[in-house]
Amino acid sequence: MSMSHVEELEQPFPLARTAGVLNPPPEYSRFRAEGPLKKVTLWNGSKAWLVTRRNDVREFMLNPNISASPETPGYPQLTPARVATVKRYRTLLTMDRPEHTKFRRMLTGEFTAQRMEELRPGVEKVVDDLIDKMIEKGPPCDIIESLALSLPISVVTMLIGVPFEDDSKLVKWSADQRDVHAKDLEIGRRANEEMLAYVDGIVARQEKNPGNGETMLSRLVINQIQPGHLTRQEAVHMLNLLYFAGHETTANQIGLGILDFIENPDQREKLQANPALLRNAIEEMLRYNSITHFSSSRVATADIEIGGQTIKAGEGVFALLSAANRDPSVFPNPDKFDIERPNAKDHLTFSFGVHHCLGQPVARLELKAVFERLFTRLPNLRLAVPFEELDFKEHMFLFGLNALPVTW
Amino acid sequence: MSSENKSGAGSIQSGNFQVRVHRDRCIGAGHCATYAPDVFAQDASDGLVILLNENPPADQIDLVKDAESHCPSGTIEIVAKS
Repeated sequence: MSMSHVEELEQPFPLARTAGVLNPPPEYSRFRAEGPLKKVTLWNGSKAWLVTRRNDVREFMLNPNISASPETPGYPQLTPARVATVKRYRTLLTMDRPEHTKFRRMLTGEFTAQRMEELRPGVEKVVDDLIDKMIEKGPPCDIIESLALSLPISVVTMLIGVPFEDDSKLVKWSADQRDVHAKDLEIGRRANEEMLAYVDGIVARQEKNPGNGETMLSRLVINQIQPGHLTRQEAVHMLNLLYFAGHETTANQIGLGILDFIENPDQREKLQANPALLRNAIEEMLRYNSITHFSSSRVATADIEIGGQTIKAGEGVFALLSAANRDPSVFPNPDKFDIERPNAKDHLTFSFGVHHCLGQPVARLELKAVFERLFTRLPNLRLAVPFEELDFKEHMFLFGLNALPVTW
Repeated sequence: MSSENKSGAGSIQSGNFQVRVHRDRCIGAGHCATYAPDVFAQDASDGLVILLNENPPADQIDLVKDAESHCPSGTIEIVAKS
Protein backbone atom coordinates (compact mmCIF):
# COMPACT_ATOMS: atom_id res chain seq x y z
CA MET A 1 0.00 0.00 0.00
CA SER A 2 1.52 3.38 -1.01
CA MET A 3 1.84 6.21 1.49
CA SER A 4 -0.67 8.40 -0.28
CA HIS A 5 -3.20 5.59 -0.15
CA VAL A 6 -2.70 5.28 3.59
CA GLU A 7 -3.19 9.03 4.01
CA GLU A 8 -6.36 8.88 2.01
CA LEU A 9 -7.78 6.13 4.19
CA GLU A 10 -6.92 7.81 7.47
CA GLN A 11 -10.02 7.64 9.60
CA PRO A 12 -10.32 9.81 12.70
CA PHE A 13 -11.95 8.57 15.89
CA PRO A 14 -14.14 9.29 17.87
CA LEU A 15 -16.89 10.11 15.38
CA ALA A 16 -20.06 12.19 15.69
CA ARG A 17 -23.70 11.09 15.62
CA THR A 18 -24.46 12.64 12.24
CA ALA A 19 -27.27 10.23 11.29
CA GLY A 20 -29.71 11.27 13.99
CA VAL A 21 -28.75 11.69 17.62
CA LEU A 22 -30.29 8.36 18.64
CA ASN A 23 -28.11 6.47 16.18
CA PRO A 24 -24.39 5.71 16.49
CA PRO A 25 -22.07 7.39 13.95
CA PRO A 26 -23.13 6.19 10.47
CA GLU A 27 -19.53 5.24 9.61
CA TYR A 28 -19.90 2.19 11.86
CA SER A 29 -22.21 0.55 9.29
CA ARG A 30 -19.55 0.95 6.61
CA PHE A 31 -16.79 -0.37 8.88
CA ARG A 32 -18.86 -3.44 9.80
CA ALA A 33 -19.50 -4.15 6.13
CA GLU A 34 -15.88 -3.61 5.08
CA GLY A 35 -14.17 -6.00 7.43
CA PRO A 36 -13.67 -7.23 10.96
CA LEU A 37 -11.16 -4.52 11.94
CA LYS A 38 -10.92 -0.85 11.03
CA LYS A 39 -7.78 1.17 11.67
CA VAL A 40 -8.44 4.65 13.07
CA THR A 41 -6.30 7.63 13.99
CA LEU A 42 -6.65 9.22 17.40
CA TRP A 43 -6.15 12.86 18.46
CA ASN A 44 -2.47 12.31 19.27
CA GLY A 45 -1.75 10.68 15.91
CA SER A 46 -1.60 7.17 17.33
CA LYS A 47 -3.50 4.34 15.68
CA ALA A 48 -6.08 1.97 17.11
CA TRP A 49 -8.38 -0.75 15.82
CA LEU A 50 -12.16 -0.63 15.92
CA VAL A 51 -14.07 -3.89 16.28
CA THR A 52 -17.64 -3.28 15.13
CA ARG A 53 -19.29 -6.66 14.47
CA ARG A 54 -21.31 -8.04 17.35
CA ASN A 55 -19.87 -11.56 17.45
CA ASP A 56 -16.33 -10.25 16.98
CA VAL A 57 -16.75 -7.82 19.88
CA ARG A 58 -18.01 -10.65 22.07
CA GLU A 59 -15.13 -12.90 21.07
CA PHE A 60 -12.52 -10.18 21.53
CA MET A 61 -13.81 -9.24 24.99
CA LEU A 62 -13.58 -12.89 26.06
CA ASN A 63 -9.93 -13.12 24.98
CA PRO A 64 -7.66 -13.43 28.02
CA ASN A 65 -4.86 -11.54 26.22
CA ILE A 66 -6.33 -8.06 26.55
CA SER A 67 -5.66 -5.34 29.11
CA ALA A 68 -8.05 -2.65 30.35
CA SER A 69 -5.30 -0.70 32.09
CA PRO A 70 -4.27 2.73 30.77
CA GLU A 71 -0.80 1.94 32.11
CA THR A 72 -0.34 -0.89 29.60
CA PRO A 73 1.75 0.39 26.67
CA GLY A 74 -0.45 0.86 23.61
CA TYR A 75 -3.67 1.55 25.54
CA PRO A 76 -5.80 3.62 23.12
CA GLN A 77 -6.31 7.20 24.23
CA LEU A 78 -9.84 8.31 23.25
CA THR A 79 -9.27 11.98 24.14
CA PRO A 80 -6.96 13.82 26.57
CA ALA A 81 -9.85 14.35 28.99
CA ARG A 82 -10.83 10.70 29.02
CA VAL A 83 -7.29 9.52 29.61
CA ALA A 84 -6.87 12.00 32.47
CA THR A 85 -10.08 10.68 34.05
CA VAL A 86 -9.27 6.98 33.81
CA LYS A 87 -5.76 7.51 35.11
CA ARG A 88 -7.03 9.18 38.28
CA TYR A 89 -8.73 6.05 39.56
CA ARG A 90 -7.46 2.65 40.43
CA THR A 91 -10.74 0.80 40.08
CA LEU A 92 -12.16 -2.43 38.75
CA LEU A 93 -12.71 -0.69 35.41
CA THR A 94 -9.01 -0.50 34.64
CA MET A 95 -7.59 -3.48 36.54
CA ASP A 96 -6.44 -6.68 34.92
CA ARG A 97 -6.40 -10.20 36.27
CA PRO A 98 -5.52 -11.42 38.84
CA GLU A 99 -5.91 -8.13 40.72
CA HIS A 100 -9.30 -7.50 39.09
CA THR A 101 -10.61 -10.90 40.20
CA LYS A 102 -9.49 -10.29 43.78
CA PHE A 103 -11.28 -6.95 44.10
CA ARG A 104 -14.33 -7.88 42.06
CA ARG A 105 -14.99 -10.91 44.23
CA MET A 106 -15.19 -8.65 47.27
CA LEU A 107 -18.36 -7.26 45.67
CA THR A 108 -19.98 -10.06 43.63
CA GLY A 109 -21.93 -11.31 46.63
CA GLU A 110 -23.62 -7.90 46.82
CA PHE A 111 -25.20 -8.31 43.38
CA THR A 112 -26.76 -11.77 43.50
CA ALA A 113 -30.33 -12.47 42.41
CA GLN A 114 -31.19 -13.00 46.07
CA ARG A 115 -29.82 -9.59 47.07
CA MET A 116 -31.76 -8.01 44.21
CA GLU A 117 -34.98 -9.56 45.53
CA GLU A 118 -34.22 -8.02 48.92
CA LEU A 119 -33.64 -4.66 47.27
CA ARG A 120 -36.73 -4.77 45.06
CA PRO A 121 -39.46 -3.50 47.44
CA GLY A 122 -37.30 -0.50 48.36
CA VAL A 123 -36.65 0.32 44.70
CA GLU A 124 -40.34 0.05 43.83
CA LYS A 125 -41.27 2.33 46.71
CA VAL A 126 -38.81 4.99 45.54
CA VAL A 127 -40.30 4.87 42.03
CA ASP A 128 -43.85 5.17 43.40
CA ASP A 129 -42.87 8.07 45.64
CA LEU A 130 -41.08 9.91 42.84
CA ILE A 131 -44.06 9.56 40.47
CA ASP A 132 -46.38 10.68 43.32
CA LYS A 133 -44.25 13.80 43.70
CA MET A 134 -44.32 14.51 39.97
CA ILE A 135 -48.12 14.25 39.95
CA GLU A 136 -48.43 16.37 43.05
CA LYS A 137 -46.30 19.16 41.56
CA GLY A 138 -48.04 18.87 38.20
CA PRO A 139 -46.67 19.16 34.68
CA PRO A 140 -44.44 20.11 33.04
CA CYS A 141 -41.33 18.66 34.62
CA ASP A 142 -37.84 17.54 33.75
CA ILE A 143 -38.21 13.80 34.20
CA ILE A 144 -34.44 13.31 34.29
CA GLU A 145 -34.26 15.30 37.49
CA SER A 146 -37.58 14.10 38.96
CA LEU A 147 -37.20 10.41 38.23
CA ALA A 148 -34.41 9.15 35.97
CA LEU A 149 -31.61 10.59 38.09
CA SER A 150 -33.26 10.64 41.52
CA LEU A 151 -34.04 6.93 41.43
CA PRO A 152 -30.55 5.54 40.83
CA ILE A 153 -29.03 7.97 43.33
CA SER A 154 -31.48 6.69 45.97
CA VAL A 155 -30.80 3.11 44.97
CA VAL A 156 -27.01 3.31 44.93
CA THR A 157 -26.98 4.94 48.34
CA MET A 158 -29.46 2.32 49.57
CA LEU A 159 -27.19 -0.40 48.19
CA ILE A 160 -24.00 0.97 49.72
CA GLY A 161 -25.85 1.86 52.89
CA VAL A 162 -24.73 5.48 53.18
CA PRO A 163 -26.86 8.36 51.91
CA PHE A 164 -25.14 11.13 50.02
CA GLU A 165 -25.36 14.36 51.97
CA ASP A 166 -26.04 16.39 48.85
CA ASP A 167 -27.16 14.59 45.68
CA SER A 168 -26.42 17.61 43.50
CA LYS A 169 -22.74 17.35 44.46
CA LEU A 170 -22.57 13.77 43.24
CA VAL A 171 -24.21 14.77 39.96
CA LYS A 172 -21.83 17.68 39.49
CA TRP A 173 -18.69 15.69 40.37
CA SER A 174 -19.78 13.06 37.89
CA ALA A 175 -20.60 15.50 35.08
CA ASP A 176 -17.33 17.38 35.60
CA GLN A 177 -15.40 14.22 34.80
CA ARG A 178 -17.41 12.76 31.94
CA ASP A 179 -17.02 15.26 29.09
CA VAL A 180 -14.57 13.42 26.84
CA HIS A 181 -13.95 16.60 24.83
CA ALA A 182 -13.30 18.82 27.86
CA LYS A 183 -10.52 21.32 27.16
CA ASP A 184 -9.93 22.37 30.75
CA LEU A 185 -8.64 19.26 32.50
CA GLU A 186 -8.46 21.15 35.79
CA ILE A 187 -12.26 20.90 36.23
CA GLY A 188 -12.13 17.11 36.16
CA ARG A 189 -9.09 17.01 38.41
CA ARG A 190 -10.78 19.15 41.03
CA ALA A 191 -14.02 17.15 40.91
CA ASN A 192 -12.03 13.97 41.39
CA GLU A 193 -10.16 15.39 44.36
CA GLU A 194 -13.33 16.63 46.07
CA MET A 195 -15.19 13.38 45.48
CA LEU A 196 -12.32 11.26 46.82
CA ALA A 197 -12.07 13.44 49.93
CA TYR A 198 -15.80 13.14 50.50
CA VAL A 199 -15.85 9.36 50.08
CA ASP A 200 -12.77 9.07 52.28
CA GLY A 201 -14.84 10.68 55.03
CA ILE A 202 -17.63 8.13 54.48
CA VAL A 203 -15.20 5.21 54.79
CA ALA A 204 -13.43 6.75 57.80
CA ARG A 205 -16.73 7.13 59.66
CA GLN A 206 -17.67 3.54 58.90
CA GLU A 207 -14.29 2.33 60.14
CA LYS A 208 -14.91 4.08 63.46
CA ASN A 209 -18.36 2.52 63.76
CA PRO A 210 -18.27 -0.58 61.56
CA GLY A 211 -21.75 -1.81 62.47
CA ASN A 212 -22.78 -5.45 62.23
CA GLY A 213 -22.57 -6.11 58.52
CA GLU A 214 -26.05 -4.74 57.84
CA THR A 215 -24.93 -2.64 54.85
CA MET A 216 -22.51 -3.16 51.97
CA LEU A 217 -20.08 -0.64 53.41
CA SER A 218 -20.28 -2.23 56.84
CA ARG A 219 -19.51 -5.63 55.29
CA LEU A 220 -16.61 -4.16 53.30
CA VAL A 221 -15.12 -2.71 56.47
CA ILE A 222 -15.59 -5.87 58.54
CA ASN A 223 -14.74 -8.50 55.91
CA GLN A 224 -12.14 -6.69 53.80
CA ILE A 225 -10.65 -3.57 55.40
CA GLN A 226 -10.23 -4.81 58.99
CA PRO A 227 -8.56 -8.13 58.04
CA GLY A 228 -6.22 -6.20 55.72
CA HIS A 229 -7.50 -7.41 52.32
CA LEU A 230 -8.42 -3.88 51.24
CA THR A 231 -6.69 -0.61 52.14
CA ARG A 232 -8.63 2.54 52.95
CA GLN A 233 -7.50 4.09 49.69
CA GLU A 234 -8.54 1.06 47.65
CA ALA A 235 -11.91 1.09 49.38
CA VAL A 236 -12.35 4.81 48.62
CA HIS A 237 -11.65 4.28 44.92
CA MET A 238 -13.97 1.28 44.85
CA LEU A 239 -16.83 3.20 46.47
CA ASN A 240 -16.19 6.14 44.21
CA LEU A 241 -16.71 3.89 41.22
CA LEU A 242 -19.90 2.42 42.71
CA TYR A 243 -21.39 5.86 43.37
CA PHE A 244 -20.58 7.05 39.83
CA ALA A 245 -21.33 3.90 37.89
CA GLY A 246 -24.40 3.30 40.00
CA HIS A 247 -26.19 6.50 39.17
CA GLU A 248 -25.31 8.12 35.86
CA THR A 249 -25.51 4.96 33.77
CA THR A 250 -28.98 4.00 34.90
CA ALA A 251 -30.18 7.59 34.85
CA ASN A 252 -29.20 7.90 31.19
CA GLN A 253 -30.79 4.58 30.35
CA ILE A 254 -34.08 5.45 32.05
CA GLY A 255 -34.21 8.84 30.33
CA LEU A 256 -33.52 7.42 26.89
CA GLY A 257 -35.97 4.56 27.53
CA ILE A 258 -38.74 7.05 28.29
CA LEU A 259 -37.87 8.89 25.09
CA ASP A 260 -37.88 5.62 23.11
CA PHE A 261 -41.47 4.97 24.14
CA ILE A 262 -42.56 8.57 23.59
CA GLU A 263 -41.07 8.48 20.07
CA ASN A 264 -42.50 5.04 19.29
CA PRO A 265 -46.17 5.13 20.38
CA ASP A 266 -46.86 1.80 18.66
CA GLN A 267 -44.30 0.11 20.93
CA ARG A 268 -45.77 1.83 23.96
CA GLU A 269 -49.24 0.57 23.06
CA LYS A 270 -47.88 -2.95 22.69
CA LEU A 271 -46.29 -2.83 26.12
CA GLN A 272 -49.42 -1.41 27.75
CA ALA A 273 -51.53 -4.11 26.09
CA ASN A 274 -49.14 -6.88 27.08
CA PRO A 275 -47.08 -6.23 30.23
CA ALA A 276 -45.38 -9.61 29.76
CA LEU A 277 -43.29 -7.87 27.08
CA LEU A 278 -41.58 -5.73 29.71
CA ARG A 279 -38.57 -7.97 30.26
CA ASN A 280 -37.76 -8.05 26.55
CA ALA A 281 -38.57 -4.36 26.18
CA ILE A 282 -35.89 -3.56 28.74
CA GLU A 283 -33.32 -5.62 26.83
CA GLU A 284 -34.31 -3.82 23.62
CA MET A 285 -33.95 -0.46 25.36
CA LEU A 286 -30.46 -1.46 26.49
CA ARG A 287 -29.56 -2.60 22.98
CA TYR A 288 -31.03 0.36 21.16
CA ASN A 289 -29.64 3.13 23.36
CA SER A 290 -26.12 1.81 24.02
CA ILE A 291 -25.22 4.46 26.56
CA THR A 292 -21.66 3.07 26.72
CA HIS A 293 -21.03 4.58 23.32
CA PHE A 294 -17.24 4.92 23.45
CA SER A 295 -16.59 1.60 25.23
CA SER A 296 -14.62 -0.65 25.51
CA SER A 297 -10.97 0.46 25.32
CA ARG A 298 -8.43 -2.34 25.45
CA VAL A 299 -4.88 -3.13 24.41
CA ALA A 300 -3.78 -6.52 23.12
CA THR A 301 -1.11 -8.18 25.27
CA ALA A 302 -0.50 -10.91 22.68
CA ASP A 303 -1.39 -11.26 19.00
CA ILE A 304 -5.14 -11.77 18.62
CA GLU A 305 -6.92 -12.95 15.52
CA ILE A 306 -10.35 -11.50 14.80
CA GLY A 307 -12.20 -12.61 11.68
CA GLY A 308 -8.97 -13.69 10.00
CA GLN A 309 -7.14 -10.41 10.70
CA THR A 310 -4.50 -9.92 13.36
CA ILE A 311 -4.33 -7.39 16.16
CA LYS A 312 -0.69 -7.34 17.21
CA ALA A 313 0.46 -7.34 20.82
CA GLY A 314 0.67 -3.74 22.03
CA GLU A 315 -1.99 -2.40 19.66
CA GLY A 316 -4.95 -0.46 21.02
CA VAL A 317 -8.52 -1.51 20.35
CA PHE A 318 -11.98 -0.03 20.76
CA ALA A 319 -14.36 -2.97 20.83
CA LEU A 320 -17.43 -0.85 20.13
CA LEU A 321 -20.44 -2.06 22.09
CA SER A 322 -22.67 0.54 20.41
CA ALA A 323 -21.66 -0.69 16.95
CA ALA A 324 -22.13 -4.33 18.00
CA ASN A 325 -25.66 -3.56 19.16
CA ARG A 326 -26.63 -2.28 15.69
CA ASP A 327 -25.04 -5.15 13.74
CA PRO A 328 -27.69 -6.05 11.12
CA SER A 329 -26.38 -9.62 10.77
CA VAL A 330 -27.42 -10.27 14.39
CA PHE A 331 -30.20 -7.69 14.82
CA PRO A 332 -32.16 -7.31 11.56
CA ASN A 333 -33.41 -3.76 10.94
CA PRO A 334 -31.13 -2.68 13.79
CA ASP A 335 -32.13 0.99 13.91
CA LYS A 336 -35.72 0.12 14.76
CA PHE A 337 -36.77 0.11 18.42
CA ASP A 338 -38.72 -3.14 18.55
CA ILE A 339 -39.71 -4.50 21.96
CA GLU A 340 -40.63 -7.84 20.40
CA ARG A 341 -37.19 -8.38 18.88
CA PRO A 342 -36.57 -12.04 19.70
CA ASN A 343 -32.85 -11.72 20.45
CA ALA A 344 -32.74 -8.26 22.03
CA LYS A 345 -31.00 -9.85 25.02
CA ASP A 346 -27.94 -10.57 22.86
CA HIS A 347 -26.88 -6.92 23.14
CA LEU A 348 -23.47 -6.09 24.60
CA THR A 349 -24.40 -2.86 26.40
CA PHE A 350 -23.03 -4.13 29.71
CA SER A 351 -19.86 -5.13 27.90
CA PHE A 352 -18.53 -8.67 27.89
CA GLY A 353 -15.65 -10.50 29.47
CA VAL A 354 -14.41 -10.06 33.02
CA HIS A 355 -15.38 -6.38 33.05
CA HIS A 356 -19.06 -7.11 32.34
CA CYS A 357 -21.02 -4.53 34.33
CA LEU A 358 -21.08 -5.47 38.01
CA GLY A 359 -24.24 -3.47 38.65
CA GLN A 360 -26.28 -4.79 35.70
CA PRO A 361 -28.83 -6.62 37.87
CA VAL A 362 -29.48 -3.37 39.77
CA ALA A 363 -29.92 -1.48 36.50
CA ARG A 364 -32.38 -4.10 35.25
CA LEU A 365 -34.24 -3.98 38.57
CA GLU A 366 -34.58 -0.19 38.36
CA LEU A 367 -35.64 -0.22 34.70
CA LYS A 368 -38.28 -2.83 35.45
CA ALA A 369 -39.62 -0.83 38.40
CA VAL A 370 -39.86 2.34 36.29
CA PHE A 371 -41.37 0.90 33.13
CA GLU A 372 -43.94 -1.32 34.82
CA ARG A 373 -45.38 1.83 36.41
CA LEU A 374 -44.64 4.98 34.44
CA PHE A 375 -47.01 4.76 31.47
CA THR A 376 -49.76 3.18 33.54
CA ARG A 377 -49.70 6.04 35.99
CA LEU A 378 -49.09 8.72 33.35
CA PRO A 379 -50.73 7.36 30.18
CA ASN A 380 -50.53 10.74 28.41
CA LEU A 381 -46.85 11.29 29.10
CA ARG A 382 -45.31 13.24 26.20
CA LEU A 383 -42.57 15.73 25.36
CA ALA A 384 -43.07 19.28 26.58
CA VAL A 385 -40.66 20.64 23.95
CA PRO A 386 -39.99 19.70 20.31
CA PHE A 387 -37.58 16.77 19.89
CA GLU A 388 -35.06 19.11 18.20
CA GLU A 389 -34.70 21.08 21.44
CA LEU A 390 -33.67 18.08 23.53
CA ASP A 391 -30.23 18.34 25.10
CA PHE A 392 -28.22 15.12 24.63
CA LYS A 393 -24.92 14.09 26.23
CA GLU A 394 -23.17 13.47 22.93
CA HIS A 395 -19.76 14.44 24.29
CA MET A 396 -20.10 12.64 27.57
CA PHE A 397 -18.49 9.29 28.18
CA LEU A 398 -21.97 7.90 28.85
CA PHE A 399 -24.64 8.86 26.30
CA GLY A 400 -27.93 10.17 27.62
CA LEU A 401 -30.06 13.26 28.08
CA ASN A 402 -29.17 16.28 30.18
CA ALA A 403 -32.86 17.04 30.58
CA LEU A 404 -36.14 15.60 29.31
CA PRO A 405 -39.01 18.07 29.69
CA VAL A 406 -42.30 16.17 29.71
CA THR A 407 -45.96 16.89 30.30
CA TRP A 408 -49.04 14.67 30.73
CA MET B 1 -30.88 -19.30 19.20
CA SER B 2 -27.39 -17.94 19.73
CA SER B 3 -25.14 -18.47 16.79
CA GLU B 4 -21.81 -18.18 18.57
CA ASN B 5 -22.02 -21.52 20.32
CA LYS B 6 -18.92 -23.33 19.31
CA SER B 7 -18.62 -25.84 22.08
CA GLY B 8 -19.72 -28.86 20.17
CA ALA B 9 -23.12 -27.39 19.37
CA GLY B 10 -23.31 -29.47 16.23
CA SER B 11 -22.83 -32.73 18.04
CA ILE B 12 -25.25 -32.18 20.89
CA GLN B 13 -28.45 -32.04 18.89
CA SER B 14 -29.56 -35.31 20.39
CA GLY B 15 -29.23 -33.85 23.87
CA ASN B 16 -26.19 -35.99 24.46
CA PHE B 17 -24.23 -33.28 26.26
CA GLN B 18 -22.47 -32.47 29.44
CA VAL B 19 -21.88 -29.15 31.21
CA ARG B 20 -18.61 -27.98 32.74
CA VAL B 21 -17.91 -24.78 34.62
CA HIS B 22 -14.54 -23.08 34.98
CA ARG B 23 -15.24 -21.50 38.33
CA ASP B 24 -11.90 -19.66 38.44
CA ARG B 25 -13.18 -17.50 35.56
CA CYS B 26 -16.59 -16.76 37.14
CA ILE B 27 -17.42 -13.11 37.88
CA GLY B 28 -20.79 -13.84 39.47
CA ALA B 29 -22.94 -12.11 36.85
CA GLY B 30 -25.63 -14.68 37.54
CA HIS B 31 -27.01 -14.92 34.00
CA CYS B 32 -26.67 -18.73 33.97
CA ALA B 33 -28.94 -19.09 36.98
CA THR B 34 -31.47 -16.81 35.29
CA TYR B 35 -31.45 -18.66 31.97
CA ALA B 36 -31.20 -22.24 33.24
CA PRO B 37 -32.12 -22.33 36.93
CA ASP B 38 -32.38 -26.13 36.95
CA VAL B 39 -28.77 -26.44 35.90
CA PHE B 40 -27.01 -23.47 37.52
CA ALA B 41 -27.33 -21.61 40.79
CA GLN B 42 -25.52 -18.69 42.35
CA ASP B 43 -23.66 -19.05 45.62
CA ALA B 44 -25.50 -16.79 48.06
CA SER B 45 -22.31 -15.52 49.69
CA ASP B 46 -20.03 -14.71 46.75
CA GLY B 47 -22.41 -14.89 43.78
CA LEU B 48 -20.25 -17.43 41.94
CA VAL B 49 -21.69 -20.25 39.89
CA ILE B 50 -22.80 -23.56 41.36
CA LEU B 51 -23.34 -26.35 38.87
CA LEU B 52 -26.46 -28.22 39.95
CA ASN B 53 -26.55 -30.80 37.21
CA GLU B 54 -23.66 -31.61 34.90
CA ASN B 55 -25.83 -33.98 32.88
CA PRO B 56 -29.01 -32.00 32.23
CA PRO B 57 -31.91 -33.65 30.41
CA ALA B 58 -32.15 -33.09 26.65
CA ASP B 59 -34.98 -30.57 26.97
CA GLN B 60 -32.63 -28.19 28.80
CA ILE B 61 -30.21 -27.79 25.90
CA ASP B 62 -31.57 -24.46 24.60
CA LEU B 63 -31.56 -22.93 28.06
CA VAL B 64 -28.03 -24.15 28.72
CA LYS B 65 -26.89 -22.75 25.36
CA ASP B 66 -28.42 -19.39 26.30
CA ALA B 67 -26.59 -19.54 29.62
CA GLU B 68 -23.33 -20.37 27.87
CA SER B 69 -23.60 -17.64 25.23
CA HIS B 70 -24.58 -14.94 27.74
CA CYS B 71 -21.99 -15.90 30.33
CA PRO B 72 -19.70 -12.86 30.07
CA SER B 73 -16.65 -14.57 31.54
CA GLY B 74 -16.56 -17.74 29.46
CA THR B 75 -17.10 -19.85 32.56
CA ILE B 76 -19.56 -22.33 31.04
CA GLU B 77 -18.59 -25.03 28.60
CA ILE B 78 -20.90 -27.43 26.80
CA VAL B 79 -19.24 -30.64 25.71
CA ALA B 80 -20.58 -33.51 23.65
CA LYS B 81 -20.68 -36.81 25.49
CA SER B 82 -18.47 -39.39 23.85
